Amino acid sequence: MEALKFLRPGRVAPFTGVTWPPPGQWLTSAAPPELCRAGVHALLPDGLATWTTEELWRVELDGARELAPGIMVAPRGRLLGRVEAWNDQTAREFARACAEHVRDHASGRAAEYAADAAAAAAAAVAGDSAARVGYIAAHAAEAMTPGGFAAERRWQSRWLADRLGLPGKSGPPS
Amino acid sequence: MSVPELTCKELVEVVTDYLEARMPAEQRLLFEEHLAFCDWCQSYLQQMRATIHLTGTLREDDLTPEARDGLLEVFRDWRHR
Repeated sequence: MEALKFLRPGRVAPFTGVTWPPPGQWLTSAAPPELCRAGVHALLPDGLATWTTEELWRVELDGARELAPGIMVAPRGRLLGRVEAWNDQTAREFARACAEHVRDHASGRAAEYAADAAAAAAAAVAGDSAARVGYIAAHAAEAMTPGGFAAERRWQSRWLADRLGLPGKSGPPS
Repeated sequence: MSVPELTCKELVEVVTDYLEARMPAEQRLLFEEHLAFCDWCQSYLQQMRATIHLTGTLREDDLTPEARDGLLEVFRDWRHR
């Protein structure tokens, strides 16, 4: 199956520090797949927003299972190609979209979160800062409505999938 | 707050469990979700990994007498707390 993988510059996995081989070559886990511990991890489009880093890749997974919502884990996987549409410019667009989506309806504590998100969005890049804006915006949504955090993350992921031209489970964000 | 997540302080408290793979799957996911947006905790984790790597290669003979005595004093003080 095909999935998506965010990596640090140079095809480096953000948590394990493993450098993925060049596109086409398999990366094989030494241990059976286990969430956040072993196996090759990748994302479905609906899980993108939480995990953004500098590089986004399309990957092929062999024998994958969905071990958490939007997170696939497999014994092995290989890079297919870079999603070039994800870069500092689209990361800033993403951050602005996240901030604007919660700004108009926010009041009180939520408005403070939304203002923080808007301020951080102006300088966001594809590394940590875009991820942080999405996180703050999701907290603004939670401050407005219980359960808003998860709903906002889903909206953010759909926005990303739509903007980057990736297939998603749901339609474009409303 | 109803969002299940770790704070930076909580992450620091459980970092050893994470590095030693002794953390339940749900908590590992929260741990890494926190790392995804928090560059301070990313730096902290890198420092911990580097410390473990470097100290894992030290032998007693590698320490100066002053460093050895200083470490022993810290450990004694910690045990008396």
